[in-house]
Amino acid sequence: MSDSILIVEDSSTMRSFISSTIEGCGDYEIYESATGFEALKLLPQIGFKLIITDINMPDINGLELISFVRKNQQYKDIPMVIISTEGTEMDRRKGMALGANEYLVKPFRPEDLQKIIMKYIG
Amino acid sequence: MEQNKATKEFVAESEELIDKIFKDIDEIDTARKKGKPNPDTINDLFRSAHSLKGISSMFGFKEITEASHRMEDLLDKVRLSKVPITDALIKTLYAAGDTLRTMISSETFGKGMDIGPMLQQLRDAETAKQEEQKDAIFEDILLTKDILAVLTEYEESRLRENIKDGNNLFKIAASFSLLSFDKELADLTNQLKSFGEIITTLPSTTEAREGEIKFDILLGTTAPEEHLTSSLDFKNIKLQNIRKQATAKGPEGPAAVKGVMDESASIKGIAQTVRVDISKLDYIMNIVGELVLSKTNLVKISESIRKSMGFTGVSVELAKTIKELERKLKELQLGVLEIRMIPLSQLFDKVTRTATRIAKGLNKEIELEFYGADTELDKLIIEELTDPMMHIIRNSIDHGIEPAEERLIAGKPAKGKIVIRAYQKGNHVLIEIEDDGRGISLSSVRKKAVEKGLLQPSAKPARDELFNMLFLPGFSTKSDVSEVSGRGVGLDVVKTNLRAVSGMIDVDTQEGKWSRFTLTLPVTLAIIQALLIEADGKRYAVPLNSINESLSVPSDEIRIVENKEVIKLRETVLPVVRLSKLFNFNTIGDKQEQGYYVIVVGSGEKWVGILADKFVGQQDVVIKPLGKLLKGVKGIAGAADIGSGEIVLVLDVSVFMEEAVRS
Repeated sequence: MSDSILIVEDSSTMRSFISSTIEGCGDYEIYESATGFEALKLLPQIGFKLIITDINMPDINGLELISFVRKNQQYKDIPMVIISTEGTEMDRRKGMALGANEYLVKPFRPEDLQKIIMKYIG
Repeated sequence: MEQNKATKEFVAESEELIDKIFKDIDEIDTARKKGKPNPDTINDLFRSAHSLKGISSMFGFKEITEASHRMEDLLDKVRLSKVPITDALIKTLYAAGDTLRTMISSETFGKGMDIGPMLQQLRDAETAKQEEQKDAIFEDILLTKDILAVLTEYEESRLRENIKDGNNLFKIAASFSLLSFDKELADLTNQLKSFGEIITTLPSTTEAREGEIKFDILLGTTAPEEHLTSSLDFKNIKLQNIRKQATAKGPEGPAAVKGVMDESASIKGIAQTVRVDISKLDYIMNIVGELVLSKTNLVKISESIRKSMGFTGVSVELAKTIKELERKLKELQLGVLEIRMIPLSQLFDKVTRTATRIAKGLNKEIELEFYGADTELDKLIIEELTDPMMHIIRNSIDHGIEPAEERLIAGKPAKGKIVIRAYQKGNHVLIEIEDDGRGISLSSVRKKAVEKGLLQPSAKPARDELFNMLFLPGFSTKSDVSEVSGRGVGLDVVKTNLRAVSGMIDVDTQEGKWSRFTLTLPVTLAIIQALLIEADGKRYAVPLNSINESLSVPSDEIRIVENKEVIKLRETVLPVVRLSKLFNFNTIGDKQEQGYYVIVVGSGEKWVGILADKFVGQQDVVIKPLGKLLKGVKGIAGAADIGSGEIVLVLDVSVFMEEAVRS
């Protein structure tokens, strides 16, 4: 069975961009959620191998998601990637401090994301 | 192809974002005048600019990226309370929104557009300083480092503002079932929002029971603790006051932003909507239409079986099954139609925004009133309606509503008023747009018509005929064409646009007092009930919703008055048209012995009769467009398959009315 990747991002255009990038680098099961809540619901159901998350989202923010994942025995080892925009350095630093593994700044090249995917689950 | 689909997705999402941007600016502007704008709205506005920047940058649309980036930077400072919300700021935001919209709707996505001045404006706005403020310190609140660590910069700033304002701060711990937490949490959130501002909602990492999830909600409010405890009716909730000293200002503190808060969409609302490409619905509709035809064929087969073997055994079963199929098909049809229907309120929102901007630009004060915003119409029709509506309203503001001084002299209130009423009448939706401006001068319409050679100087046209001239190409009564109402293209375009969706337009006015445009639209375009008629050996379908009545008349009751064929209908004279004449077909014979059927079509004051030799029947038809070659033929709305492969032309009756008036 192929590895599962979770994308948490409220922009549908960004989500499709990210998932098509991931599709380009191998056979993965991709789950998309538009809100942090959806992500919280998916977490116990699917054994994710990687989580890609935005920071500014409507319900719970990306930092809260990272902190939640890192403090939970069941999920704490899932690699997490922050996708953020320039101008949010402070939030990004906080995210890394909370235990995110990587970050990408929009606009990023597909290769940058593919490299990260290869590094953690290639 | 792939690129194309992605770009489409970009356009769809960015248009939605722009709409949200305008809605939020409007809301902030309105709330600001009443007190404090809702921080959630400001944050939403920021997030829209942020998302727009994010997606446009991925597509490499440099200008859109740059513009939305600047806007985002500015809004970031606004939401962090570093830049105050002023008239100038709102104006800058509107202008930036306009530029963004122009770029998104342009074919090149703003490539090469000069956005320098706009960027400069946004940059200038950023430098407007908020009064120096002392940072509230987090020392006097009981929050663990864990919680502070997960607050975004924005949330931190909201926390600071709440402390600064002297509000009470509560941490509300709640646990929910993993299966339904989003709904329950949304309910709790909505309830809490009536007390104040939710600073953050974080999934708690402390042990939760199997199958449950805990959340900590941070609430800033002027309400005292007792209020909360007495009104919250949720089980499994723990409330903790996290201010060290209870220093809340109480009721005299800044008014809770309550009223504004209630309007924010609930999370539930977002989760239960899907966006569907309308072409997919059209596709389903087409299939439904074809199914209806298959059913019609089945009925015919069933009848012939019944004739040959009698009403027994299989033929009874078949008839029953067909009845069942018929019922379900009808439900399916209604269901699909329902999906396509959206309330007019969406259009009204758009209209309000644009109208406010136009009025501002013309230095006129107007007030808009809407009635019947929940009247529903086919989405396709609503889309086609935006331009005509805007055109009429632009006209009203520009030409109709007088400048304030002039209004006062005429004994009217300085503020102009435009009332828009929508209501359903049978299979039609009527939209009236009425302004209390100077009205339309019949004598200037007449003068202009003579000047343009549309009218003989000696002619004595009826009121209606004069009004009809307003809709002729190139007609404009205002001698100097102003920038707002457009470049001499006028109501004729409105009429053409409306005709594309089988709509009609009428106008009425009282000089000096008011003018009113009435749009008549079909509820849906997809499937219509039609009357099949035969005239001069050819079959046609007439949309049932445009037929008022039908009658039969002996041939000798058709008379000729002023070169027009007419009949006497009760106390009035009704012009009649022959389809063969209208479409230049060869006629079989001029006089029909047994007389004619007359189908009376029209609306309002205008009626015309269509002559037919025979009624064939009544059935549902799906109108299909004619090919390019026949597209321009007047009087034909399209073609329809009426089963067993026979194709008939569907008449566009709105054209007949003009012909009758003109010929």
